[in-house]
Amino acid sequence: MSTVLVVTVVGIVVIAAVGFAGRRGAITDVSDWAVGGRRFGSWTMWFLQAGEVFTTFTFLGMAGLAFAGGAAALYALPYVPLAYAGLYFLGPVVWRRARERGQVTQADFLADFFGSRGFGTLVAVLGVVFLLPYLQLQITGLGLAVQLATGAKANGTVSMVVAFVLVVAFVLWSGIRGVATTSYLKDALMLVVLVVLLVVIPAEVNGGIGATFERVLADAPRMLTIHEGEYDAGYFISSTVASTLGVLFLTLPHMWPALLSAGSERAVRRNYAFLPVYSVCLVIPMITGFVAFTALPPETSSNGALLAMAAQAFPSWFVGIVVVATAATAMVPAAGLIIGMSSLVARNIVRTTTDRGQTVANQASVVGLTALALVLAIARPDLLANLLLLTYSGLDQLVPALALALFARRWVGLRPVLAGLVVGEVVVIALTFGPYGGTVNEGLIALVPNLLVVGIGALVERRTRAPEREEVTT
Amino acid sequence: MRPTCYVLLGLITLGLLAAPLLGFVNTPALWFGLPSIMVWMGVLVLLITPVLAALEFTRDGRRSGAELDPSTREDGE
Repeated sequence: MSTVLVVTVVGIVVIAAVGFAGRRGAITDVSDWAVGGRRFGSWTMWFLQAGEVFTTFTFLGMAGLAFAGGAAALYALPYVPLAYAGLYFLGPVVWRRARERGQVTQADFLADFFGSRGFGTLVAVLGVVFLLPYLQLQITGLGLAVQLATGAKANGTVSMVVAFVLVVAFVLWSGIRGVATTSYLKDALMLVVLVVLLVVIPAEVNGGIGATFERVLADAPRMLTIHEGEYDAGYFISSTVASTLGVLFLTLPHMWPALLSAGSERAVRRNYAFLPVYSVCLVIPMITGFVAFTALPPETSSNGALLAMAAQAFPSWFVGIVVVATAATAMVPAAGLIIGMSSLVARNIVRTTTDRGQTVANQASVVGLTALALVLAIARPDLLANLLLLTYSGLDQLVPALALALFARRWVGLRPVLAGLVVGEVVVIALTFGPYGGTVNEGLIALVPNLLVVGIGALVERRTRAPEREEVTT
Repeated sequence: MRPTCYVLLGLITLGLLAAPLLGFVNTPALWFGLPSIMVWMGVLVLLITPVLAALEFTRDGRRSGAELDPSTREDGE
């Protein structure tokens, strides 16, 4: 067994052990398991939500994007901080309402506001369907990292199975508290690795960061700009706006447990105020990608660029540490995804009436959904690839419903919102799999007919009967 | 103070979204040894936190809303 693999396996086991240690006393119900009794302060919130920002995409994908597309990779930098600036104002509104009305999931929030459990079920089904490929992506990312670092596909497969069996175990045992404690370890490890990569790799390869960019400027100046092509200004701006709206209006269901676990509005506000600073760390793997551009042959797999550079610059034990950090960026966000998805199943899809039934449904969905994603990652890794293309654009179509639900009064009824959602999803699917060849984000385009349908529906609703201006909050 | 913060947040948003359209930013040039657009966006993102912090720390205490009893919290703030 190679040094890299030994370090990786030990690292994965340590991450899981920290997850197990996160449990605090008995967990009484799904709500306690998913949102930790709503008692987390700013520090825990910080790590929980930072965990959602830094996934395997951060480590492997950002370096790969910069390696292949240069400055176009910067599209990933502003949308989370911009959305968090908005959530500084909106987050407390959601937190307060959810706490007052005992809501645990995004679907709870919408079902309660629009007075329809059926709508909650539809939103929950959409959430699970769209997040499943995202969960699979985390699993595949972990396997890919191990495979690239050790040179053997079998090592990648074994690592995926070991890591995600352990993730299921600690998620069942500790719930969101396990995600919180592993987030501490993950972020500490990731920051150390990022800083070491930033200092050592450019110095080893080009004599420093400045020298790296001087070389890119001389050899390929277009790489330093956003230029015509697949990733042009239209792509950059529309993707940033679409992603910002998606995060700002909490369209991703796995964002909800972390937000609702806050112990106070102040914890919510302060967390959203300070998280944008952390997002700047995304620049570090991007710089590594630029170094790879100057050092690796163009045919190199872009996702493997960062690990290839690490293998050139470091001894094998440290390459193992880099792989463990990558594994952590897969396991911890995956744990959050699993909690988000299983809560939707237990509370909004299965809809059992007893606490015991809800707990059983929840535990079964944790195991079932992870097993499904794991089997697909190993046996049919491309099966959900098309669905992944829909994840963000599809969930963006919930923006009108969620934006309206932030008001205290129900200005627009369920039917226009539902009709807009259906139209938006149909347009997203048509654009994604149809002949559309533009660079403007499909989710943003689909929001236009979605909003139009909601607007027209609201007008029709007002003309035909008195609007439902039911007071929702107390 | 607070209106200034809102204006600043608006300008930061505009500056980030318009980055590819600004000729002096989206150009093959280096600022402090880094790509100009990377520096521009990095600085604007870093400015978000001080502006939000200014809003937070000049906040009227009466508007803080529901706060859980600190004794029941699991960690500090």
